[in-house]
Amino acid sequence: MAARHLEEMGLSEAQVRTTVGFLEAYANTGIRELAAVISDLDGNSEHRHEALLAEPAFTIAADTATALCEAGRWMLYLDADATRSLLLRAGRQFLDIGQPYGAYLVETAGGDDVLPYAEMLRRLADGTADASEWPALRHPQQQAYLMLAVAGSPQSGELRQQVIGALEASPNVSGVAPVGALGTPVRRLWDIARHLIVARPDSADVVAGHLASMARRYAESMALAQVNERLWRHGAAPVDVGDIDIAGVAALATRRFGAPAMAQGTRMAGLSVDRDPIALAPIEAGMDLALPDDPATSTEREN
Amino acid sequence: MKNDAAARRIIDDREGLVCRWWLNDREISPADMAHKLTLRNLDMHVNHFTEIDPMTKQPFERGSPFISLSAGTVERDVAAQTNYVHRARRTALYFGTDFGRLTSAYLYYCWVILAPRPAVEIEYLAEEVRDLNAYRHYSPFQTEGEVLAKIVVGDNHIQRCEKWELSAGSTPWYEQKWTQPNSRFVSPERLTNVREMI
Repeated sequence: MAARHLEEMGLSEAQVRTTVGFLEAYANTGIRELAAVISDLDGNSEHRHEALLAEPAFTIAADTATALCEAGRWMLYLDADATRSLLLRAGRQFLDIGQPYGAYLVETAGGDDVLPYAEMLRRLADGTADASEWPALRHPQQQAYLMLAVAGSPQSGELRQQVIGALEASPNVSGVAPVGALGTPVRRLWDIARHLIVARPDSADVVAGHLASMARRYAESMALAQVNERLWRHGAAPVDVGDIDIAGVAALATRRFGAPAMAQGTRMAGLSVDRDPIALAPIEAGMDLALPDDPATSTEREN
Repeated sequence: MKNDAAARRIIDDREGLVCRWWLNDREISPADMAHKLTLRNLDMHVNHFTEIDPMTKQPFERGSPFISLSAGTVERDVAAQTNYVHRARRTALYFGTDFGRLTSAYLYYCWVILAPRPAVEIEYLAEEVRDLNAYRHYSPFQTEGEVLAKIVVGDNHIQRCEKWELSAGSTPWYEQKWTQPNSRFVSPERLTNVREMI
């Protein structure tokens, strides 16, 4: 992980760690509140799921998941292990409240959870999400994260045809609904998911091209957010400094195509360390998330 | 906030939440307010709070006529589209603890009337601040974020004050230490013209 990314953005490691500490403490507060709200349940998982979808549990659980996810994003440039741990906790919490986004976080973190992708894809294909445990799947945003998660997961092989069918049948192929903190058009994420699953010879370059476009937008947003120096320095600017959309896609693609192919793809897409250090930051961090224990494939050296 | 006594005085002594300009200058006038409530100062408050104000040669924060409040709502459709749940409490705690550096914070639960359109000159209307260029949790619903009150939030708009404190340990968490209710609180429902019908 590269603290240099934070330095390039004018953020101190101390403030980032303070912010993460706050968010973890806040999430712990939510976990305690949640335990108090659903403490009278008998341990039946079905009852627990229903209770989590009712108020006030849903709000507390969603708030907790958001805080954990934010903490994970902040750790992205400091500590890969801590980032994976936080994203995994956030992802599981989001899944508990029926948000497929949680699956994306779990896969980004490299979790070994076996998730009910077949059921989710079936609900998506036959249009019965509303009547299922996954009503959030009616939103294009949640559909996009589901497709990224399943296409990038170790389970993708056995679900290949089901995934390809769902991808091709959806209007999201040409959809423009904004997704994520960058407001990325859903069609871009849809195309990334398609290349993750079909893995053609040029797929790494195509995905790297999409990442480069998102990364340029990210760099511009970071520059705009730094105008408010006080909020920026204190980690309170309303932006995702650690962008998990970019880092997550980079992690999934690195696991699928390998670090050398992704590093070459981003270079071919016109990003360079000298010229675009901020744009490259979440891509490199995502690649490190995918390859935590293999120094030979470190993105520091690839670039 | 210096201590519990100062926090409670805002309700007990009917001080209300007062802008820094009033706190620092002590005496302000309606004419001064008209000079202060401008779009330029609103931009300074939102984007250049701690910088030197070229007009006064002082940090802008010392003379700001605005009071930052945190607003939040949790709507499931918004959560599904943004993967982000915004509760006012999280933001308020973060700012109240000086961005996570202090171990306690005082939170005031209050209401203000939001201007449906920008109306910075109108003292009694609060402004919803949203920089769409910088604001990146895309939401078509615009139900959350920073709200700027002007000059003062009257004490009868404040429902209660809560003290939250970091409970240290292997899994630190924020504990609500005490709540100070306001017996003079006027509920915003009093203002509604919606009639219940059978």
